[in-house]
Amino acid sequence: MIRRNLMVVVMCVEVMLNSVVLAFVVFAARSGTLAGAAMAFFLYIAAACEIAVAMAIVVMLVERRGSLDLAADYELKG
Amino acid sequence: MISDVLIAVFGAMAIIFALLVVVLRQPMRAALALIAHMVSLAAIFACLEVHVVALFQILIYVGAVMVFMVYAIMLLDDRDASYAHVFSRWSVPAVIVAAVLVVALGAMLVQWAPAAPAATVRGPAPFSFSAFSVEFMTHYWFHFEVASILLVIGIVAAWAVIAERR
Repeated sequence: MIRRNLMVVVMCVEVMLNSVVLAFVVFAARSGTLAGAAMAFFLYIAAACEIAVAMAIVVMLVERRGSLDLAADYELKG
Repeated sequence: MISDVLIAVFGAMAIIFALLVVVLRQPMRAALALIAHMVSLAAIFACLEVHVVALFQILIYVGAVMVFMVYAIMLLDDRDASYAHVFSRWSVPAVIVAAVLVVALGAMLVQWAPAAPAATVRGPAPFSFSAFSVEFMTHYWFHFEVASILLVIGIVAAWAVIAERR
């Protein structure tokens, strides 16, 4: 959480998801089985769901607060 | 041997572009760096001969997810406060933790580096489209159906957020 821009934070989450996909693909390539590739496929589906919900939340927060700045959401708790 | 060199090159590119995603000021430039990062990863997958996932990476991630994200960035105002003050007050602890993590992982990699797999006679490629499709729909058909339900739930959740906004 070193960035204050909400969109960039979402992109950093995507980078983390990509690293997980890379781990599964390397496992699939080293083991020669399809389990890793299948997990990568399911991760893509999870990422598609995540980005759809995340973009809706981003647009909603921007409309409510008029800012992409995470510091504006100081009242978030829990 | 050539694929090892290519994996190292594309791996270095992926790390550089991932760092650019974190440090670039403009979200649109960060999005372009993320696209380059994803293409580098797809190249690594292709070098590992997992062509199916390499194509999924380009088609689903770069083709769908990132285009969606770029549209969202274009809809938002670029005169935001977060453009002037890029980094939060947690930057210094986050960089320290990341540096410690990189050193620890590097030490582990040096100490317990796996031996190169022995050269074996390879059968038909397990990650060709036909082999992947048959195997996937044989063993993972139920998971595939559950995933389609998850996609529907994602659409409904996004719609619910938009509806709550009105």
